[in-house]
Amino acid sequence: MPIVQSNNFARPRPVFFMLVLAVLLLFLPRLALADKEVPEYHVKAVFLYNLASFVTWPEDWHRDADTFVIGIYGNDPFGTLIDQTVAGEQRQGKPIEIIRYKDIGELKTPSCDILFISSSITENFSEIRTALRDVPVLTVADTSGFPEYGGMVNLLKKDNRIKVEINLKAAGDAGLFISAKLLRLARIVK
Amino acid sequence: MIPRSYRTKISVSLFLYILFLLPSVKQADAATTGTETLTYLKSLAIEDLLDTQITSVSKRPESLFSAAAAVTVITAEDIRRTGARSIPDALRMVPGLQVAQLDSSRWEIGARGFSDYFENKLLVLIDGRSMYTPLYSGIYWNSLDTILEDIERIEVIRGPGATIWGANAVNGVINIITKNSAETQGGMISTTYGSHENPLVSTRYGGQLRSSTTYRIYAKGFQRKSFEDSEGNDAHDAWKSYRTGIRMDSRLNKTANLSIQAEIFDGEADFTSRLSGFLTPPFTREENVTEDFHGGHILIDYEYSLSPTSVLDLTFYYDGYSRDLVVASEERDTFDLEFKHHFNFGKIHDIVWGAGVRWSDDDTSGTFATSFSPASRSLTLWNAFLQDDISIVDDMFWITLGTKIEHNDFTGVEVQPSIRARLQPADNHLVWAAISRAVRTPSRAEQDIIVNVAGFQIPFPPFVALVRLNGNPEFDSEELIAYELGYRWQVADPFSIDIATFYNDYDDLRGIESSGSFTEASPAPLHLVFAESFVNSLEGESYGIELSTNWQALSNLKVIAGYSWIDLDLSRKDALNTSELSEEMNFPRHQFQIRTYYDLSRHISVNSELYWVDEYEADGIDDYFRFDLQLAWTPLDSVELMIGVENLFNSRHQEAVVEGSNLVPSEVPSQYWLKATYRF
Repeated sequence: MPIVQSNNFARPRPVFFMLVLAVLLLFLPRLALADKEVPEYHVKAVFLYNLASFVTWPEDWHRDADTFVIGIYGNDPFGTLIDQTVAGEQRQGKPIEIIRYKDIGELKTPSCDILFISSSITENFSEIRTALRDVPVLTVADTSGFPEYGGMVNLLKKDNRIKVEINLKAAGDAGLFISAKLLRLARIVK
Repeated sequence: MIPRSYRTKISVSLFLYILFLLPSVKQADAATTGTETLTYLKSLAIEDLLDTQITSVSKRPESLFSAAAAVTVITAEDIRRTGARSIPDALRMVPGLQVAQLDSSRWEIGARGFSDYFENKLLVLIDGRSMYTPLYSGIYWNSLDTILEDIERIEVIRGPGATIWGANAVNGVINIITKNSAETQGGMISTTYGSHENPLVSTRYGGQLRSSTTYRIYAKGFQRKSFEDSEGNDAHDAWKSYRTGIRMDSRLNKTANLSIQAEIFDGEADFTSRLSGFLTPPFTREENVTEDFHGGHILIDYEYSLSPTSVLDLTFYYDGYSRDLVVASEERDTFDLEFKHHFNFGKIHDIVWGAGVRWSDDDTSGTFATSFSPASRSLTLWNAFLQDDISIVDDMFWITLGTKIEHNDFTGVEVQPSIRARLQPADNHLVWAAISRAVRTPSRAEQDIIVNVAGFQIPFPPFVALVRLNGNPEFDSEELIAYELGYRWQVADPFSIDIATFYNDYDDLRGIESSGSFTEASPAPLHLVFAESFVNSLEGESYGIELSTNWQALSNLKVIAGYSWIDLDLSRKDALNTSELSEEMNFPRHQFQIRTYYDLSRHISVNSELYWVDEYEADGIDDYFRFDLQLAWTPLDSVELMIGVENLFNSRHQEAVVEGSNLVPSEVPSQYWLKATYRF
């Protein structure tokens, strides 16, 4: 068994240290550009609220409804955040209402325009899809693989930012039109 | 470090702290912390909104909240904010784990009371790759490493995880999960330079091959300077390590994902070795030596979705390494194949089942101090498991039944069943309970080792004697029946409490008993041997509580606190033998920590961690405080500068001793470092 008397570690190199500092100092003038970090569901709540401005629903859909409804199905990850976000706000000239659904049966006669499907139940998505067949409800989730299984809008976390995925065909089949402005920022899933 | 009379004060202040937290929660309701941020976000254009950096700090993932086990997750944020430089550093944040640093590159880490260097009842996995050595059921912490920025999370399950994870997952499972390469696109270079980092450099580049395939290549290297011994002299425990690897993730089609990773590493870690098993005076030798290690692995993971609710997962890995432990050396090749199928059956069954085989082949060479007989051995481990999570009352009450059946070459078939239940009367309350059986199967050492522990002179008649510890081919598995009860309460949106309690009933624990004496002529001189061997001679029980709170006090201030208490009673199964046991309480009875993450402005954050660790009664290690402080400045999205101080108000302290090892522990010093990270 070799027994090594090892004391051959390199000494600290001040030159290297200063070089690193110098490189970093170069970046100082651009200070003001940095971003603030925000909790994930704050951003998602505001996105959900903004989403309606980038989507056109069929002319005759929910024409008589008094409110524009954002539905949340399954365990609600937003808490009161989404309610605070939409408080006092309007969409399509109607006040926004948040409805939380617990049971698949409640989706059979959909009263919502946008439906956020919690990751706690996206596994039952095929069932949800059947329930929503032929109605223009915009389905949104934040679960990897959601658009691949026919979901319309998916919010994924990537590099500490929200990335949007859109399944154009699913939205089109339901009669929903998504504006180019949003599509430009999204990854299109076929 | 602190006088005994202060103990009570600490307990009292802990209590006050918790009491103090409760009423103040109301004030920090989501309404006051969130509104400003929401107004700001609503003012942004959609492209700026999507460009906002996010953190996932304030919300536990749903699956975690509803887990029927004592789970703690160390997130990428925890690692980034604390500037953890090694995986053991990050594990200090888990309440109820005992993390003691022995010297600059070695740690003793255990869960729920067993933190022996040579037998920790803990399973450690990186992306599903088992990291404990069947040689002695321990972990080589100084070669277990990766780029810490590339870790997505570290899930720590305290208590038996045997049903899914298998042998050695007796008192805990540490599951390190690295990021998908899609999440590490672009370049990163990070340099840490400090009192002991000399330096540490991590670099990574992530790119895209096709739209569906991403990869990253990375390299990490560091040299760490020696700590000091109790007299303030160089402790001769410098450490250097180099590794490089690649990971590729590919979405083959709508239903199949393939992930491949490969890595090689090389390193060496000095230590002071004190051996006492010699035949000539002075019988004990102390030497400065170097442990050498190198190795690598390749892992392939294929995931196939039959449907959204039915997923197949096939994982294969090869892991090989060679390590010169000075008193012996180990070369090991491991091939592992695991199959897993997760699916929903009907509306109420969520089933995971799987099977796997692991083949591990070693080759050791020994010295007079330590050797293995046979020197080389191949071990095959078969396993199959089934777990069914049954929803008894919709969204309210679940029962999880599971069992693992395993066959190993030492003890044959082992059955490890568990039953878990969880009740969620409201969205923010969860009560869980579990009863499980787990076994720690014997290690190579316990069956095959030969250690010459101590040589000494007998005065009458003048004769040399030697104490020798032998492995025991009859050594059987250690057994645990664990009873657990836990409660989680999301008191308000920004505040949650997690309490876990346990009662562990152990049987057939390892003890050392005398097995006779004889004279031996070779090697010369003629000497008397007092033989001892491992036997399953002990039983015991332990009980304890682990408590953690998570409080987003303000939108820019997060406070995390943890407390754990444990007690252990060991006794000999043979009631007639009443001689004292040395293994009891070689771990801290109480541990407390409080961490704060504070964002001073958009660009500057201050993070602090205070740990208090009780004395190691049996080992004569004093209790100690450790205070770490980090200041991070992000002048640009792409640049982060960080200054860290560790162990701030404590010049040096020893954290543990090592039973039955030739390792002479160092004292853990105060350290400071400067870290610069550039992303492009």
